[in-house]
Amino acid sequence: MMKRIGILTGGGDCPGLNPAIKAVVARATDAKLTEKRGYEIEVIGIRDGWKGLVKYDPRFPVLPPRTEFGGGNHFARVLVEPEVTRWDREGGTRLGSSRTNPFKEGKETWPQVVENVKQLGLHALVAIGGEDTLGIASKLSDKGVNVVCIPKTIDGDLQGTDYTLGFETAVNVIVEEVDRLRTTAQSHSRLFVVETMGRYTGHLALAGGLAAGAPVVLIPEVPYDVDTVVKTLKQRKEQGHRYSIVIVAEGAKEKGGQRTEKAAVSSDGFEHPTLGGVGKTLEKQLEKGTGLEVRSVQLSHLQRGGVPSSYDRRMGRLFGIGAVDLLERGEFGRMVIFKNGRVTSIPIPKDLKEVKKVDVAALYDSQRFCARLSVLD
Amino acid sequence: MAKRIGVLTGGGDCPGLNPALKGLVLGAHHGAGNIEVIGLRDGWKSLVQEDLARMGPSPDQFFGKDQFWKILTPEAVESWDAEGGTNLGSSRTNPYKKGAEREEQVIRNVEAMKLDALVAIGGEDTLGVALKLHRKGVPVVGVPKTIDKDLPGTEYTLGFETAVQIITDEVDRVRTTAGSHSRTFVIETMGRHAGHLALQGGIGAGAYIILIPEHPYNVARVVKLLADRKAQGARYSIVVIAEGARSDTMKEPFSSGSLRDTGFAHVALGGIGELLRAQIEQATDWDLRSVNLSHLQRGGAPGAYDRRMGRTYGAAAADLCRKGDWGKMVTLREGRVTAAPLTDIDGPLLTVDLDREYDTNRYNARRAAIL
Repeated sequence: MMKRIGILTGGGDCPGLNPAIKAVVARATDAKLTEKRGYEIEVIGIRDGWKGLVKYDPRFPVLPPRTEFGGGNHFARVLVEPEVTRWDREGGTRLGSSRTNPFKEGKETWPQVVENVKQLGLHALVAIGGEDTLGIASKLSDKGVNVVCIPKTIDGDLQGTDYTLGFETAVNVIVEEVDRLRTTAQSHSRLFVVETMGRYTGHLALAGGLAAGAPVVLIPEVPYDVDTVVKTLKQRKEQGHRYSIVIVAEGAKEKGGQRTEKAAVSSDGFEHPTLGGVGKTLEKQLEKGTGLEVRSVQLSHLQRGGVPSSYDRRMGRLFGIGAVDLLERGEFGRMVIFKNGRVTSIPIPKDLKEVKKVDVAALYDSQRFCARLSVLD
Repeated sequence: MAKRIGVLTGGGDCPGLNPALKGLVLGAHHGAGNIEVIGLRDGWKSLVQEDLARMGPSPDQFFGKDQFWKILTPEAVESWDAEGGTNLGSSRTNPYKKGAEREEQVIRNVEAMKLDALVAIGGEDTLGVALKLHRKGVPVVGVPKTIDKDLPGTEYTLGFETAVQIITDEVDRVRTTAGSHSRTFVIETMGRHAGHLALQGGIGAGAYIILIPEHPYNVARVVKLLADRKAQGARYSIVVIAEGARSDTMKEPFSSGSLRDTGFAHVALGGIGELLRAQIEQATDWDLRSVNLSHLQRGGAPGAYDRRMGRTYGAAAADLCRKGDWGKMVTLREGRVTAAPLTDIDGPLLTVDLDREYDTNRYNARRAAIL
């Protein structure tokens, strides 16, 4: 007997997706574990997230192993271990991604997805993604499709899990880029404002700021006061520091001010406004306030690019293996999570849109706008 | 609450010590009542000097020949978190070395320096000394570090994650040569008694075989696994082996035989990778190479994880000093930073859980995550 499972990646790419895909294939097709299980599992890679399951057309059947999708009409291919064996070293997603939303109001295509899951003979689906992708998975689960989820987002803000794939690599990128900026900041005695991603939460900015040693970190959870920041920076100058690094999350805003965002682009099936630009505003405010030379840098997509760090390779692997652990036991409608230092699982949260905020009381100093300097009280 | 504390780093250096020093100093200088932090040079070596108080303080960032302490201000440690190693220096001096006990000197120095407490950043040896001093009434706080991550009582020790990242990076580099020349590589990692570093490094690097001290390996089995993979068309394989690993015919881990007078009497390990390479070559006609990553694993700038954990551990140690909560060590438990009794380090070393984490057939990590 053989069971077929499908795997897809949706939403923004990040390092850690390919390690997870490799692990799903390796775990599902492992000879010893297959023998123990009593049946084989065939893994079908679905191209471009949910778009692949909307667009799949039986006239363009599942491609055999070791065959690239190309740009054509094929949206499914068989994945075998020899071809995925190097994927854990690669960033992004080899399966491609999209922001297609089969539950978009007025343009519902989910019945097509359900139909194609049947057409493809998929016993179950592994969905790797963030709030949008996993939100779809949850709704499909309600429609009777067997799904398990793997959480990813460099923002680190998904409900129910202490870790989401991509986060640690993104923090490393922030540290490395700030390390580079320091040489210029030091040479020219300049202030640098570094804008990170993070959408409506400050997990990434706070972890990046703490690791990069930034004396000021501005997060969306606590609107900032320009005068206080100016005072801190002036004080540092008086203490003899030649320069300072200010980290600002793209979703941060001034007290009484507005977030810097552009309206949703309609091609995005999930209609998210585009954040970003607060760093530039802050640069001008700080230049005016301090009278010092200030430059701003938006790290932008660099934070999602490049090869996964060792941590994301290992976590991607664990999450991928965990997903197949769940499939084998028939525990569907669940999400693999990292909680209290262990990999485990929970039912896919219903409130994924409600992102997890930074625990300000425990981790943030709202008076001085930086990471809290106490840990145990 | 402490008004003046001393901090030292002992044993092997690793990335994460300097971030911890910064975290401690910043943590000691905020909120009500600053704590003055004295940086003690070269681990316990400073505290066994004849008259430490009169030997300092060192006026700038460098220690003079006979200077063994200096005052650490937030300004002084500002950029330390981006730096590897320890800016205080380290040594393997053991005040409890048999026949040369210097405990009384240490206690005299702590009193003469007017230190309300000592913060010791180190591994089993350094924290072991701290525990003994604590039992003599010296107020101490411990911060755990070792790239081996085998200290009892904590899920994280400083230096581990950077070391794992280095293994991953180095194997990424070795792969281009391995692939080009169709050569299998044996990579030797550190890890004396525990295989955590080899196992996590091997997983991160995607190694085909990982050999750890907890499970003696069979050379013929290693050869068979490699032959199987070669038969499937693989041009090369990566074998990661911990320095403390041994085959099922060896009674002890491989050692070059040199016993360094370190104060703690550790045998220098290393060389098992080359031995295994030779054994595989003998059993086959393959072209193999071995690389001993050795001290590269402890060098360089700390990764983002060790910078954050260092900062956090240091700040937590400052919290314990502020509370006067002595005889504790900062730890990570169930994913959270907390404090545990320093006596925990008397427990058995934390080794790889073979049932949960290792596949003794494939000589690799177990393919199960949710147990």
